[in-house]
Amino acid sequence: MQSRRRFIAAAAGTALLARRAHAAEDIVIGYHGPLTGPASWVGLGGRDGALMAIGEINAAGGVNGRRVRMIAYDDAGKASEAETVARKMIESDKVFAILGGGLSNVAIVVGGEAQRGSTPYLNGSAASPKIIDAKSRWVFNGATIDIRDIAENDIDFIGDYLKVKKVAVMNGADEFSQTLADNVVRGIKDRFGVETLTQQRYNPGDTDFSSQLLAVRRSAPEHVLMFGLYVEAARAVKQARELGIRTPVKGDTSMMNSGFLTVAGPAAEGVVVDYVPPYFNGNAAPAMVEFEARYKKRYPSYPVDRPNYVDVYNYGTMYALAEGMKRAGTDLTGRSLVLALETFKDWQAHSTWPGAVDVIHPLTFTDSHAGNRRLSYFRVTKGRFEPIADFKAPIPSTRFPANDTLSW
Amino acid sequence: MEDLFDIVPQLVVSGIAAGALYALVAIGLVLIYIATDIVNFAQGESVTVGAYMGWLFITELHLPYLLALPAVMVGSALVGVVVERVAYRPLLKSPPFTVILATLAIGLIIKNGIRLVWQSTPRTIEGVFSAEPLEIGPVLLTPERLAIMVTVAVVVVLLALFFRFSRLGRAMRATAQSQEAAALMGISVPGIFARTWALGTALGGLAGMLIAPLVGINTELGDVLVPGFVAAVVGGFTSIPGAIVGGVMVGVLENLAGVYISSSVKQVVPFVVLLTVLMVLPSGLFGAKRRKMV
Repeated sequence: MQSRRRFIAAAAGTALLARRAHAAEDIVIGYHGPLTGPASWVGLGGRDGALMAIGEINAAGGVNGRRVRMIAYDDAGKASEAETVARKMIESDKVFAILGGGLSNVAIVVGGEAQRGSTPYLNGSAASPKIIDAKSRWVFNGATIDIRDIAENDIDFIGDYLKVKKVAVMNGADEFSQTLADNVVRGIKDRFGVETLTQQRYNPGDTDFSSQLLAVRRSAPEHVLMFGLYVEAARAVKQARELGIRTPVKGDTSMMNSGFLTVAGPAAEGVVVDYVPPYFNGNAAPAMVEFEARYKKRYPSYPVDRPNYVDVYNYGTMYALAEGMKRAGTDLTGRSLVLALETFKDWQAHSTWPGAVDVIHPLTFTDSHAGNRRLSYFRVTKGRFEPIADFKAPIPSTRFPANDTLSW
Repeated sequence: MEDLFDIVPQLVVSGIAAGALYALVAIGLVLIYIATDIVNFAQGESVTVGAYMGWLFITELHLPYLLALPAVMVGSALVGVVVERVAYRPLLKSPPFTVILATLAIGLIIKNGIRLVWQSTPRTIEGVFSAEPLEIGPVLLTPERLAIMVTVAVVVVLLALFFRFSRLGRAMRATAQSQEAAALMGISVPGIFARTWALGTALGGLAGMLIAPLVGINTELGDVLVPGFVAAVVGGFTSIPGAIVGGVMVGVLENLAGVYISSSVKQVVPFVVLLTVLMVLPSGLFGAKRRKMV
């Protein structure tokens, strides 16, 4: 009898310990982004921003007592790699959720795989409409902003603020740049009658832009609109001046980066960019000063183009993921996380994670999975990005699929 | 608005400036191929190595650009010697395919080694020439780009003189014609191989130093291998003048197609040129016909 009691006690103890061990099990998050190739600054920045957030989250006791661990995967910025990477995360490594630090072409594919694998996917940096329009309950846009929202702001900015009537467009051939450029070209024509005299394309990694720039010069525009990753854009801006093009340039979020200023040099002066997060590197705002100080402490020899918007995006989006998991409680499942995220209303990290810095716009998922809809504009003045205070970017009108129309 | 054909002179000159760099990469490929029968697919990475080396010399050792330039060439040559000794010489008797794979592997090792140390973040160095354009007739050209064209021209002349008049240059030519005959004449064939690799990678390093002030430095600079390779093949792969003509041809045609066809086809042009030339002239524009004895 005594030995039977001992056995039951031992079994109960083992079960308790096992339950405790399960509760204390790490939550494994997958991360994908281009860690190599011409866009590697996107993936590396996103990874490092997310890792910094995870370090802080774990130092604060983790999520409901569980530590968060991240496995980073290199998708090389190629859609052809995306499926393999997504399947590895979901099927082999069985990650609990995925944080996206990749380009749009990759995020579209990973979003589809996340839907098939019933795995929550927080896209921190890609902006293609195809991500949200897939109408997946599992897929969220975190700190980033949908291209249609950027385009709507850009259309207002170009037609109403810059008041130009003839533009030339140069855009990267990647999914994000091409889609944004096409949306803006269509919108400025429809709303303000702005004529696009020429639209030139270039590829990631290009070093010579003379043919595109000469086509731009030939068309004699009032303004050049440039959409593309910052390294190529910086080279093109520099080369434009070499070819005698003095036309003002409007760029995009990617170019709001000290790396852009470094590569383009004095040719960057006067360039106007839109920018999604509220803060940027070198910004004197207390939150960004604090963010940069922490970043420097964690990555003492961080490169000139960091922390940039992708570091900031994924730092903030990682906190959003952690908050969703915290709200889902101890009975954490993919579904409970999705439902918890859908309760976010103007959520800011610092409000629920006192150790966090608020470097992204507040996130709202109560209506749709497009968490952020705000951006602002800056101009390079004396080698620094200065806010354009007299243009107030409107909250765009695009209607995203409502939560109750999304499919599990 | 400029007339559609008003910009032709500018397109041609800008194409020559871009093509000069392709030619420099192509010459490095050709030199190594002539002497060793090996296509060095790591040649693009010698451009990257040269650019990073220049950045280190200028930012860490505070060397002025003009002093860093020869230092980079010497440093790149040493890298070439090491690569030849470690990756190529042990495979001397292996099938050519194995050696080609080895050069590909070396390129990847170099590229990823740089990534590991400095990540892919762009760096910049200041050149010595102005980036403000000069107006030369209907054409704008910056002293920076003009300097590249002049440098490539000078390098070509020096190489011609080197191969014609120097003892080492003549030994290289002899080895290229027949390794057995050269060895019988007392020439150290492995020594010539090492020196040829040194020369080829030094030219890659020079290309890296020339391009760095224009476009910045990152680990993708080695992608210039693609147009450089096409230039070498178009030129015949055994001819230095062919490499120059091939480089300039690719640069100019890229520009013309980019404007008069579409910017989207610009990247395709080198391959169209390659296929067209090979269909019409299988040995390239300047290549010697090679007959295999059976």
